[in-house]
Amino acid sequence: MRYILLLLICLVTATAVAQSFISSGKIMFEKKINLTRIYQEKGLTEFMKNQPQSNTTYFELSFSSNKTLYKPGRAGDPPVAGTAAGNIVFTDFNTGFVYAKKEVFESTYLVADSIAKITWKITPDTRMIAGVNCRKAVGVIMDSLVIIAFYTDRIPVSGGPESFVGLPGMIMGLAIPKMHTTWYASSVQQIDEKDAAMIKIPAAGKTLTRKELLTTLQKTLHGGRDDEHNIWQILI
Amino acid sequence: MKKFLIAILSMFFFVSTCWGQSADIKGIIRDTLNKNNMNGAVIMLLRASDSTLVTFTRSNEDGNFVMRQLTPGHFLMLVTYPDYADYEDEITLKDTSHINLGNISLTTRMRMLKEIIVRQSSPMRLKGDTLEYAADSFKVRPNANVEDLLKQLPGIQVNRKGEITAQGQQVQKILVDGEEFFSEDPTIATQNLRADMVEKVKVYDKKSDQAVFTGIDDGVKIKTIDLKLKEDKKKGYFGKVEGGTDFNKYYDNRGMISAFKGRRKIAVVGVMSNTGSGTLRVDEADNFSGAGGVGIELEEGMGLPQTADEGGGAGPGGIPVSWNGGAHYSNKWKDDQYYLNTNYRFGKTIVNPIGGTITQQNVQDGMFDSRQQSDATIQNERHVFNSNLVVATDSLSTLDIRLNTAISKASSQNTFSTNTLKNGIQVNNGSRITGNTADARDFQANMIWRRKFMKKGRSLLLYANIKTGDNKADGSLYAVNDFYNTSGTHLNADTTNQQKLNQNNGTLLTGKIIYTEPLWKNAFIMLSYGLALNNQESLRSTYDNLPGGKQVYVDSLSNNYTLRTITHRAGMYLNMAGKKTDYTIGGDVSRADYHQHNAVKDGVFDHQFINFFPKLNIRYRLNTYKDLTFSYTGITQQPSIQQLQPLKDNYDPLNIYIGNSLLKRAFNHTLNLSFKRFKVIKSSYFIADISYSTIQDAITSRNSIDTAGRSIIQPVNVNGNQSIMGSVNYGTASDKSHLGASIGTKFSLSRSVSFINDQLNNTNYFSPAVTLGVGWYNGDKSSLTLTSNINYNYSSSSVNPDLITKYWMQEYTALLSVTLFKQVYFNTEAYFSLRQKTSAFDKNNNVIKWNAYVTKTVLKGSMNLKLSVNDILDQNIGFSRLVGAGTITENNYNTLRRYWMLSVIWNFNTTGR
Repeated sequence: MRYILLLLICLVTATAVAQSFISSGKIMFEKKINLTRIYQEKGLTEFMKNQPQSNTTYFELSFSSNKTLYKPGRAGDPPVAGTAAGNIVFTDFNTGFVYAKKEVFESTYLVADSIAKITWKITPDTRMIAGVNCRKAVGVIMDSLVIIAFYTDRIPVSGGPESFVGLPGMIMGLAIPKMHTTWYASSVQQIDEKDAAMIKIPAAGKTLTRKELLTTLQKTLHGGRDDEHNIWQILI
Repeated sequence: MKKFLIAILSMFFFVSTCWGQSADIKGIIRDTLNKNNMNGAVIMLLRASDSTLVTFTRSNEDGNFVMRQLTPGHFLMLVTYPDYADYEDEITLKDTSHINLGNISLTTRMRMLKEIIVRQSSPMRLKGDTLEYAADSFKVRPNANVEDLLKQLPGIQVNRKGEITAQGQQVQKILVDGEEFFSEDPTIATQNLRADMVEKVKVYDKKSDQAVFTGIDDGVKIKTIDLKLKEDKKKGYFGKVEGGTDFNKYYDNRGMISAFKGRRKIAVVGVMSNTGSGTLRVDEADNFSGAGGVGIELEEGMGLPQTADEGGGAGPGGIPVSWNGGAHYSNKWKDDQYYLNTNYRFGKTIVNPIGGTITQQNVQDGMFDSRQQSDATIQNERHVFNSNLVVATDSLSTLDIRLNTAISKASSQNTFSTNTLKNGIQVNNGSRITGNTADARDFQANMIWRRKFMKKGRSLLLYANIKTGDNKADGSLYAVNDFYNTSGTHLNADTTNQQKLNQNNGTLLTGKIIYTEPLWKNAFIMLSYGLALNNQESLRSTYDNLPGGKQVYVDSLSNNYTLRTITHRAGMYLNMAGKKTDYTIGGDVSRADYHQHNAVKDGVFDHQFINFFPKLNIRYRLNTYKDLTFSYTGITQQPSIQQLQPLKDNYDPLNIYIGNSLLKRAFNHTLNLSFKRFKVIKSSYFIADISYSTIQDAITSRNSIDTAGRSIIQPVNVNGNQSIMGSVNYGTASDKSHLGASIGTKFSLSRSVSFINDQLNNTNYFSPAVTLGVGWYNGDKSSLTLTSNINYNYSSSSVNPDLITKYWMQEYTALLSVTLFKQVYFNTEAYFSLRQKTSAFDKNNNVIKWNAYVTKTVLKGSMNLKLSVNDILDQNIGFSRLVGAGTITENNYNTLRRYWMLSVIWNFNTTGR
């Protein structure tokens, strides 16, 4: 008898969840950097033996039907390299603008610009992340950086972690192979639209556009591959 | 004024450019099951060439969506909704396209309590080059076999003999889970495996093993169907046993038991029948071509000695009584590192063909008319054993070892009587009795070692093979012939009483090495070298039997020769694979040294040939669903030893064959262009192809008829052989209306050059054909298929231009299967063939062959009772007609006539429990 009841409940909840969209809520993300691979590429094989293999930090993304706010969540490992590791990003789909507060070396900048257009290729592959079914898409930014994203059409907001947007649903998983970094959602919570009003534009530092930030960085970082990586880390 | 005009014009330009980008698409998204409009479905427009997301939108509360301001191009539209199957379609937009897709139905992917058939995005999908059918999407009767399932798949037809055609092309190989399973006879898999065991039916053009391994397409294409089985059905055993009799003369008993357990497959099959159906095809002569598809393509005539069956000469006909059986074992161990596949098959057939042949040959001054009657008894027994072991020695290399053995025995006795007239006057007549017994043994072992290297595209393949064979035959010939002069008066009589002993043996050793290296991005070069050493011995002794038991050796009809050949073959191919285009260009060059020693006449005959085999192949992939292929292939055809060696052969004293040592080799140029297009949503396919071929120095038979009416046949070279062949095939199926239709047309136009009675003859041949097929299927309840094939044949020969042969041939087939009432199925097929009469023959050659059977399922589905009637109208007359260079040949022979049969079929199955 108990089992039948359980089965019915499962069926009902399954049906309930299956048929509804999550239009506002909060997603917890886990950002992981594979340090071992980075040290291997730099040739620091000896050094890496005494270092941790990976670096994990946590973020949360609050979203409503037309806005998203991405910011650091609970404390994780101490940030590595210290550049732009704790961004706060506010994306407004109504106005088409994105505001990102980034700590770059010793300065704090507010990058205000229109939402970037990323060219995505849709693939038929899917996987489950945080209990929702996601589809894989592949994109390229900054001319050569390949990004792999998993988005779900269960959340009809075109947002995602950092500045990655533009897919027909929320990005729940993201991987940048060249940077050995991944972001994966660990949970999704539904929040009422009214409670989501806490989403606001963060406090300002020096305001720049993306292009201006790039120019500023290129003035100081024009070395080899390491600097290229640093630029990527800051601009994403 | 001018300024005003310019202003207006520029405004128009401006406006029209805006309008230029105003293509739009709209539609309504609905749920298939509940017929609700779906709110929030995502509709994406992707560029067809690379799946780049161009734009997307969501459907509103009424399920409506619209995408505006679209630029022209080829796109894929993808519609998704959580927990629903994807919907995909191709769309082409022009500047001013306004497309209204109407209702688009999505099907849920949710599991329900009661198990129902769940459809994935489409029951048919194209994955790369493979067309995949989801088996469960096509309903069949309980206990239905794979053949019943294949008949339901759009684009696939199965004919009465169990031969399968897919998208208009004949299927040559059936694999089970990607592996060979009694692959010489595909009907063992299709008629014995259960339809409910199959998860996917995959149809593709299999490349040669060499092409798969090196990655360079060598143009070899074998149409293959791979039956992927469901994992949970691979546990337990299943099979069926069938016994049928008509309580009088005919019987048909067969059985198969299989035990599948994960990777291990064991099967045993047996047939005992005298109705001529379902004979296991065991008598394919030494066709061990499964040797990985690698090897030196030996020029003709250099292969192993054939299984001796000389002096038979019996045409088609007779109803074989056959006993056949086979066993199969295959398994994989240690994480698929080791794979073993072994098979044993045996077959014994006794057949008694009785028939007649009428041959009409046009010559300059009239016509030769020859008639022959024959009565033969032929018995064949063959045992074949083969095994294949594949070991993945490490992650980059594999070792593939194959062993094959075949033992066969054949015996035949044949009685003939013949009569030849020229323009109505007797030329000759006679009778002859021949007998023959033959024994053959063949053995083959080969080994292939493949190794891939760390660098992508670099690979090495080593191949070694040894083949030996041995056969002996003992035959007798007793013939009496009478010859007449031009006014019909008897001239002389001729008696031949001989014994012929033949012994052949041969050994062939081959080795080949193929190396592939990447040159630059997406470009590869393949180099190969092969060596073949062949040693063949043939001893033919003919003795005249004299009264009193003595025997005299006949020099002119005997021979004893050894043939040794050494062939070197080197090849180089360049392959470039672009995003859309694939090119392969290259060729092989070979040098063959023949050394033949004729011991009886003490002559040595040495020949050397240098042969070329150029090849060009271009494939242009328009998108995943469309491609165009162009190829050029050059093949050298070398004359065979039988054609070169001047040995007289008199098995049939009225048809004497002699060799020609001055024969040149022939060179065949073939150009081919083919186009394929699949539409997955509409389940339609379109295939068109055309090829042109011309042969330089073609080898043909020069046929002269001497005054006594004997034919002397000798091979010679001719120029001018050309042919064009083409076909177009289109098929489509609609899931909603359960209808499928296909239409195809084929034509061939050719000219062939030959000699008739020492005169050069050009035969022009034209043959167009149209095939139409319509099928209606209602799952497991009923189905109806109608096909028609209309063929026109026209041939004229320059030797006698007034005699033009032209006739129509029409064939119609109707297959109907209906569920009459609970558990009773009725199935009938009718085959109607109309052959137009030609002037010389009075027989009306229209045939209707009508078969029907009724089956009733008893004992909860495990047993079937079947009552069948074959050839209800008793019309199956054995008849065949061949039209060639100025000659028409007609054969008639005994065949299976009307019979009925009551069978009991017991199905057992423990899989999937």
